[in-house]
Amino acid sequence: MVAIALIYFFNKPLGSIPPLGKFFSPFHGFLQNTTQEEDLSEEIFLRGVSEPVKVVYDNNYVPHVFAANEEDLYFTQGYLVAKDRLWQMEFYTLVSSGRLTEVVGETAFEFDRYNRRLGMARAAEEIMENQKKDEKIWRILTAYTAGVNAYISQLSYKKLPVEYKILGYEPEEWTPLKTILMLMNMRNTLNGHSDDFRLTNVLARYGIDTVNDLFPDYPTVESPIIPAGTPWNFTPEPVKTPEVTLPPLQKEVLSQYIPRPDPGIGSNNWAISGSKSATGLPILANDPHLGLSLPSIWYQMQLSAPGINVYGVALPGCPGIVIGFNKDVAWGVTNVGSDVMDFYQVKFKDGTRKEYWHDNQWKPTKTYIEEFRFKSGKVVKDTLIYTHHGPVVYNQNKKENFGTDTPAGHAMKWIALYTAGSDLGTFLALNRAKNYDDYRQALSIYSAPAQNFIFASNGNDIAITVNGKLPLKWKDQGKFILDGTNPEHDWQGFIPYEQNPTVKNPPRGFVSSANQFSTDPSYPYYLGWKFAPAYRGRRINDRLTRLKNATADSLRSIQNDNYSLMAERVLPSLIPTLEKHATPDVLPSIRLLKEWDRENTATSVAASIFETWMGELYQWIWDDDFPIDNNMLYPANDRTAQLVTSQPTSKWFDNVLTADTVETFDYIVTGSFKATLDSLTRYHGPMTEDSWAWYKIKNTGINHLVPAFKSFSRSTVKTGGGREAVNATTNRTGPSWRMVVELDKEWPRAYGLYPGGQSGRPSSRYYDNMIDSWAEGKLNPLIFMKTKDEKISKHLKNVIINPKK
Amino acid sequence: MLYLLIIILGAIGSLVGPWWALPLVACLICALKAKTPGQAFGVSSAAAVTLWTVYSLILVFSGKENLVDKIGTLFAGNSAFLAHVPSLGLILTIVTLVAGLTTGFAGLAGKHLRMMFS
Repeated sequence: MVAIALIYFFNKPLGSIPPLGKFFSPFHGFLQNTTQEEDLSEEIFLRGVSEPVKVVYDNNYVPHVFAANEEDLYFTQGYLVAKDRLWQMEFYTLVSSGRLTEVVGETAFEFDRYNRRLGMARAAEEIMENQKKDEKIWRILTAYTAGVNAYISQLSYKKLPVEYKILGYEPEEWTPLKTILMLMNMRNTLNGHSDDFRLTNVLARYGIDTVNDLFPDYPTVESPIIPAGTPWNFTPEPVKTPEVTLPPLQKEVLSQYIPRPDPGIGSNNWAISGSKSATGLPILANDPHLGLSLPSIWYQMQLSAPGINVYGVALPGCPGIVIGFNKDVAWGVTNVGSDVMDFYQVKFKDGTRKEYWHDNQWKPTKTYIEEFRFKSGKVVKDTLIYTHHGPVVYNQNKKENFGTDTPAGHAMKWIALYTAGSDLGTFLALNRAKNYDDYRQALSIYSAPAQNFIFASNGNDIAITVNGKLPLKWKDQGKFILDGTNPEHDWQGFIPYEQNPTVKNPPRGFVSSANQFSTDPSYPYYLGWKFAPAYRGRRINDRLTRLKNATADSLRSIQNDNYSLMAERVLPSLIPTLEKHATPDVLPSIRLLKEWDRENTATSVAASIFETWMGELYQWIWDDDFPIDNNMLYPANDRTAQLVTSQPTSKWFDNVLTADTVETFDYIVTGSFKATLDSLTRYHGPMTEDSWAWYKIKNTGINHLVPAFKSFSRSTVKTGGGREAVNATTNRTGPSWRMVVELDKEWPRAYGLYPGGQSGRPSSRYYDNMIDSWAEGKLNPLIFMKTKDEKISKHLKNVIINPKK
Repeated sequence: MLYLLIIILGAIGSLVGPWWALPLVACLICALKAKTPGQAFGVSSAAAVTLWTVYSLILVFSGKENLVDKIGTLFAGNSAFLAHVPSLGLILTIVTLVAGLTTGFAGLAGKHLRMMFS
């Protein structure tokens, strides 16, 4: 009895502890995971390929796949990516479908519930149904799926990725839906946040004049993505502005659920024309800034079959290459910060929420029951209600809403739930593009998340297009909560693709983007009131303007630019004030700031002081008036800089929480500076070159997707940069892939790397082997093979995948 | 003899079957061969610990990869005491406990079953 009890006991997961018997058996458990490095033998047989496929691995463990046809190509891509990243790709799909509770238990419930309420899984299913109608894309999706499943079907417990063993579950079959869920995750990461509730709270408290003053629609200093002066050669669609643009104002409390935009998520890309390059042909650069994670979000590979030969990075779980190049063209993406998530205040008829008031009539809602399965086996249900706008994300039962017992809710209109078009189709077409026309054609079917698609070709064209479904909006529509009863508040359609902001071969000789405003205010449509601060974009444009005879290395150097334009803008107004009131204990710090070259290098102490101080200063200026904890938001970076540099007598410097004193600019500046030094000393000891080095204060960490797996993560990576530097590396976000491509008539030369490694296995030498080079700002030459028999110098091994009879 | 038999048959069972093939083998062999319940427990336990420890050490020292430190750190969690135990020591302790206890009791059960039916 004891024996059976023990076997049973060691065979089951105990809370967060894996099944000990299986896990520690050297024949089955985690130690088996250390024997898999050379797991792929030189010749394997798989049911699913029709002709032999040759895979050449280079010494960075990048597979170069040569197949005789497209089905074999994408089948092999699915197989190889699954082999290195299966656990990770499945994990992402569990996130976007709100199913994490099934593998990690009850702790993930609120997170899952939120993701289900966003309705991503439901939209993903519709997208998948739409993709079935496109024969070409569906064939690729199913071939990829079959490849992933071919790998999964080979797995026994012993061969499972170690995360499955630790968490105690097994992979499910892969499906095309999971590929769409993977893309849905990107839509959420890049588009899934809103300030609408918070700004509505500000409006309710301070009125429209204050909002217009402190939360304006365009910054004072900007360098938009489409250069000012670019003509708009089209007749804009009419957009009708309603008479009443605001719902009945009330104190909103939902903002605690809706994430604020993460300033660390963004990206840079640019391309210079032949007139600026040493070769006379364009060079293109891209570095998407995302949450830094292990395993990495990207997977490098080359995909070759008749009609296609492309190199770049893929998203694990998605066929094709997302950012990359082929013989003739290169392309990249950065996020568009337009406002594509809006909330409608809904008036329900009664507590059943079966009907809601819209366009002067009661309309029926749709109801879905969401079922959550916990690891323990427990099942919890949640009711989700949709209006025609979209899902009611959270309901608040508040007495003051529309009478005594009629509940209000907020329905969400979100571009991520838009199901027409094909994002996948865009990337697959870019993989095959030969010229500018192919690029424009590829972009026409793209939906979301809207991206600044940058392009360069060996035909000497460069271009950038702010692309995706951009809703047609009246000015400031969706800046605040909208009225869900008024049909004039509904989205009025989308800007036609041809009218999305775009520019080809501008006179300045380069195109670029860094998430800043897409256009200047002359563009006839309203896209949003808040984009990323202009610092990165301006710095990039400054440097590109000065550039001559550039090489790939010149562009690499710009990617690693640590200069703080923000410091350049605000310090001259701040330092004299500091000096005026300086006490001996702060003098050394002031001197450091004064002598600082404004470079956020990894070892700079001044950068640590400045960056910490800016956070503190913002809080000192704004938190009394617009407390974040009270679901408000601070005015944007540009407005704050303007206040600091040119409005020192503004009333906003007074702390309204101290009734009997009036705080001044001088008081706020010196007080916040002193507080900065105190907090740095408290957490990092007295100021020395070592203890206050910027990389230690910034503390960039590249964590495993399960943050509790600390030993699978890297912490305090030695890098410089910062939120507003071109090298936008913060503590948890940063350049997730850096790429530079020199276009060429014969064969392109490309360089790139990402902060991680090709293998998803924590014990592999290819798990995090690129991190150190990444931190130093280096790039690896990318090996882009011409034919399958080409000899490459950095060769690791060849694998032939044969059809299994 | 009993000891070697459990190791050899247990290893073969583990290579083709699940992890509990080893206690199962011990149970069967002890039913047939063990002289006393004490011997059944002791020898089964010792054989299992030997097999798992030796194979673990082979994997640790022949493998090109190190996962022991990462898993050890993970299991030590936030415990200050465990953080000071070398990872390999921690892992081998768990290996000894799991293999020794399950297989020991399985051997014992085998012997008892035999005694019940004869």
